[in-house]
Amino acid sequence: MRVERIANRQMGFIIFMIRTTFIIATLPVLTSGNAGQDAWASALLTLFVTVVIAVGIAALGARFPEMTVIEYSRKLLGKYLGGLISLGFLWLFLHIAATDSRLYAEVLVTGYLPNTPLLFIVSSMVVLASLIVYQGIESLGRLADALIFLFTAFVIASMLVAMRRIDAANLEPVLARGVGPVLSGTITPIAVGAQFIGISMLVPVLTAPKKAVSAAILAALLNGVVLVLAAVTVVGTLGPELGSRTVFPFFLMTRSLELAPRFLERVDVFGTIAWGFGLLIDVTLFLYCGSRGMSQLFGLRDYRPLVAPMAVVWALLAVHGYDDVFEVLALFRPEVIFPYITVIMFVPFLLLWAAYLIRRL
Amino acid sequence: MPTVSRFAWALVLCSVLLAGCWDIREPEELVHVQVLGFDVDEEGNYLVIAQSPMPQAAMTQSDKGGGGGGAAQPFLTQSEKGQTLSQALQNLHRVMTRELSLGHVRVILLSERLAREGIDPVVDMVTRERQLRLLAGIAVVEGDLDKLMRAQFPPESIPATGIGRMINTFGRRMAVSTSEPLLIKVVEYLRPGQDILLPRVRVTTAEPESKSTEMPGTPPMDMFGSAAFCGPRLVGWMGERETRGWNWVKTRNRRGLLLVELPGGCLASLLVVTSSATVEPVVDSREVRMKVKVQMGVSLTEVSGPAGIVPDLNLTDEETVLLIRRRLSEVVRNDIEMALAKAQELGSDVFGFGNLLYRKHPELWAEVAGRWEDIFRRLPVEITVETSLCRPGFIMNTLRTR
Amino acid sequence: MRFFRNLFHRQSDPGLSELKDDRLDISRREAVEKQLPLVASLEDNLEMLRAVVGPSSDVITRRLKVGRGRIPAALIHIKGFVDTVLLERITNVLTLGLLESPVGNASRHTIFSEFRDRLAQSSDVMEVTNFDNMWTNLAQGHAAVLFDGTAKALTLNTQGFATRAVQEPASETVIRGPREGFVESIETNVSMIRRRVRTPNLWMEQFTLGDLTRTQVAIMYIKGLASEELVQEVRQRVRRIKIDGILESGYVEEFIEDNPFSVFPTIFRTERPDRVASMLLEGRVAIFTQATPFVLVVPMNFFMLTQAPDDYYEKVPIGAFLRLLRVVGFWMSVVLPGFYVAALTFHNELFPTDLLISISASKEGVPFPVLFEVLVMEMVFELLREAGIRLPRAIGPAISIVGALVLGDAAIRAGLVSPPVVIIVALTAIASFTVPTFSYGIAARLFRFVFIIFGGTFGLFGIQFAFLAVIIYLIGLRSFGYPYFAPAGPLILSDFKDVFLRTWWWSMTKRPFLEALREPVRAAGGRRPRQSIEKEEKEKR
Repeated sequence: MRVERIANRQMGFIIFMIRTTFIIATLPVLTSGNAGQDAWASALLTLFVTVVIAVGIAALGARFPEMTVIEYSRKLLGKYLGGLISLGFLWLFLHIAATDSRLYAEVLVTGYLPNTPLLFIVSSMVVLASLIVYQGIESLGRLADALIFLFTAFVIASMLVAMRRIDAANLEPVLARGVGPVLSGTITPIAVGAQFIGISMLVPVLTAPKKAVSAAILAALLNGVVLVLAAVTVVGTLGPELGSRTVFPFFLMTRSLELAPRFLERVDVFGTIAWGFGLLIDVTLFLYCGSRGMSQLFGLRDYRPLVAPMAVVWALLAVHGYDDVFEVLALFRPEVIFPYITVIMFVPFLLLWAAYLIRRL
Repeated sequence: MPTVSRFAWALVLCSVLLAGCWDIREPEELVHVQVLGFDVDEEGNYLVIAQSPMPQAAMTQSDKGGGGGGAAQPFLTQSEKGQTLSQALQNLHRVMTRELSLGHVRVILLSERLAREGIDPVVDMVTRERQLRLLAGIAVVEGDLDKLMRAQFPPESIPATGIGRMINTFGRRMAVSTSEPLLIKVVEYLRPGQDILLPRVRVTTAEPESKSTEMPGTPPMDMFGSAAFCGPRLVGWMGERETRGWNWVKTRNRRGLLLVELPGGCLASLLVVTSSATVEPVVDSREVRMKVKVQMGVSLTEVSGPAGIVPDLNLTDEETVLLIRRRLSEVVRNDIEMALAKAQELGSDVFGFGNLLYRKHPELWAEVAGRWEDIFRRLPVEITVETSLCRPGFIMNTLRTR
Repeated sequence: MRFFRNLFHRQSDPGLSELKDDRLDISRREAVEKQLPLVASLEDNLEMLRAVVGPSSDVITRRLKVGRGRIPAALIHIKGFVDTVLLERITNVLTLGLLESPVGNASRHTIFSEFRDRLAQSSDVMEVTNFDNMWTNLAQGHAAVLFDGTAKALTLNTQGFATRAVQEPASETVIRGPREGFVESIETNVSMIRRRVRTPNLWMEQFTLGDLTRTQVAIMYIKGLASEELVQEVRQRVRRIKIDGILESGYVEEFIEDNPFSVFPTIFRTERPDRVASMLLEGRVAIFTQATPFVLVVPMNFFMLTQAPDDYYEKVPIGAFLRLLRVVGFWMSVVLPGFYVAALTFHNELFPTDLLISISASKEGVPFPVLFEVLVMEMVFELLREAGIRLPRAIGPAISIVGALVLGDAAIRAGLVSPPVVIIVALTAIASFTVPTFSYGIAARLFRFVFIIFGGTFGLFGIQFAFLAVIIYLIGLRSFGYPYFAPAGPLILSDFKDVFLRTWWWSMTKRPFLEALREPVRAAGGRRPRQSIEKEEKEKR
């Protein structure tokens, strides 16, 4: 069987789109933290930390160019501990994708389709995603290639329109309450940096696995720039007070703007469509990661038979995993998400690095 | 793989065929509210007045080429009460044949009574509701809101168009009023140390019952000054000059016509070309002062004298120009002082001096935030005005007959 | 029963006697005929011919007694396949010429080789030893000469059947560019390419496909430019074809496609030699089929559908603008009606207020939902278009008048449809006509209905869903192993010089990345035209 490969560039696109979608979707984790008008500073800090996270994940992957994280964690930490960690990762894949698609469905239902069942929106996205996963990882890479321009154009367009409305007064006073709130504002976004774990599953299918790190850094950097820009634009237009009280600030911002009166009055469509594109990539990647990881954990030769059952689980978890949007947002509270991600991802990766370094010595 | 893929496609197809169209709304099932009026009655019930165009009537009118004077009104105004705004909106459906759609609301009008009781519920609903957008304009109506929304709006066949244009364009063009989309007003509303100023609309229809006596070609309302809020409550009106003064400081609307009296009783009309302002808080030993500096450039549009007096204006003379500038500075300063006096009298910090303090001296603001209203009422403000006469128009000196 | 008969036949010797049996089925007949050898006796050979072709009166046998030895001979040809002047000349040689030349003295045993070497007045002469080969040549317009006493036949090329003259292709017209189009003769078609690409490395391989039609199919490529794997793949796929007849290149296309269920064509077809030549120069492989002017080219990609031949001849800014227009037109023709339905029934806030009011005003009194209205009008439009194509030229305009004016106007007046829908349908139609190749228009039309249904049931979410589904579908497609959606997915930035826009030829120094991996450079760089190079150099000094 031919080994399917994606270009490093494509991995960069995938990561960039997933992370940017997260910005569009869950910016409140930045603005509703304590940072307020200093959200941009939190964003800047997040940028650096996420680059570190991305490098940490990609660099370890590059040390094992033929293996996914599921495989090398067992190699490094032994069958049982490695297996346990892998299970954690698998759960994380599932959880990230389910949460992201739930948020997307929530915004559609809140903003456009109040009577449409969540399950329908989620499952149509998951069906599309499983189609791509069936076609193979190459299709995901090509999809990212095909959508990146539209996606970026839409995101930039919505931000450009908003930039005219930025009121500098909304960004003052600068760092009035010290760095404390800024720091606490970064906790959640850093924890959501867990999305970079997708890299660890993609490295072995890259055309140049050794160079995975540069692609990851580039994606994380670009994404960080978008994050800072988005934080500035949203807080600059909506103000810290409105921005922090909104469920979907980016969405509210695009809703409250017009490009050209009497002609193109609604720009929120661009943002929402970009979100949809990004979400598809997101769900696809994690569905792939989940089924591939699962198949490796249980020693199956092909991951495809797992896709359909996993897709069902994905959709059901997205819809029934949370009772309401409050629960979804509660997850993003720093005191909830940070320990959770630390236990399930940061600590395992530190362990893996430690084990790797010990082996090298 | 092909079989699975085909299966998935089949699933997609089935979902389309089996699933319902949950949110479909045919255009003829909807009326699109364009102007939304909010009022409150003595018992504390909210009153919602919705004005929406009737497509059918609009069509027949245009078909007849405007000949159908006695035809059905091309718009529909209905009102209902409820304990909350949303309930009132919901109750509107009792008397509607179609579903209300709020996606096209252009203007939100608040009655004076509601504004005086507090606009919090409006702000909450406007930001929370699915269809309303912060793009709409907002104004406070002095007078009978209900009558205004039921009145014809002579030059326009659909009153909403007229109301929208008047509020959204007049207010944006003339410095004697203020008008900005909801987004900006809401953001300002939420800022610490800042009160908002909304455009004020006066209902001018004297006898709404007798439509025939109505002057043709005159809208039933005019824009006059603005409404000053203190927190969520309307506390008083500001006149045209006061609003103008506010605009000079906030530099929101830069267009305006200023009249300057010249020696000999002549009047020079000056059109504002450029205007900028800086406000700076000065803190001396815990005492706060504000320094307002306004720079303005104007161009001359007219020089006229009272009856019988022919103005004599020699613009080549530097003295004259200087005089005009000096007088103009006085006028502008007077505007600002009037606005400031009014605001301080009302205790409404529409200039956002408190917010400025919060932005520039947050630690001081934290101390004074609680008693800011008192401080504001006594806040010393230094006003400096610099003016320049940019251009005299097409002629230099006044033309005179021999 | 049949099995036993076949069993029986297979055991018996193939032979003439069997052919005379009327109950012999076609496959067996063909098998027997394939194995018939030519024999020394002229009479036997002629009897064999009669047995095989039966009473077909277009197979003409001229019996002669040639040379001084009055050796019995025969000249066979198929009427309408040969140039009569050439045939006359051969007859002349066989009769008079043979008497006048020393060859006339040849004996029964030597006359064949003597004639072949010294008198056969044709540059394309072939010796055949069995009946099947002789027939193949006859069917290509050769004339066969048989001499008594030689178990061989000599076929001389006298081809000259009537073909349609080279005309401007009907389905791909251009404003600027060659007016030549392919015709139904493979020889002419191939020669048209040779005239454009004169390198000896333009290679052609010929296959005969179709058991009964015996259609010639040729693949053509530039040796050393087209990837060997691709050529090998084409060769293999073409060889795999097994069918009784091939009447058009569509038959071939269906046999060699990558995705037989694909709505979008994954094999490019064209009537224009200049396009085939330009694609050969990009390292692609062309497949010619006898008796059709449509030539296939592989691999193709999705973005070729918006390329028109003019693009490459017209000035760049104009060509680029026109191509961009076509790209917009294609997507408009796919998405616009669906978007209209979705926006009007789900997201009316997308319309500017005044527009929405006038649309809903015109919708008042229309008894159908928007979705149905648009679907029906699109169907009506498709009917009209199909009717317009099938109708004789003379009444085509009449139908369009009836359809467009009478039907549309009456439907609006009767209040069955609202005018905006008619505008949308008309716009879509116009947009879809900008797609240069007809077959892609069809695909766009099919997808348009998908978009309408999804848009009408789920609003913009449905449109987005359908769009993503189409993109996913396109991304999964391959054309001879080459990704169909390249260069957009996978992204090949260098190829974007010729996707939505086209850059100048002097700046397009590379061939398409994937198709021409072997030899990417097509033009020397830095040849941007300048005003008077000498002057510039002087200035530099």
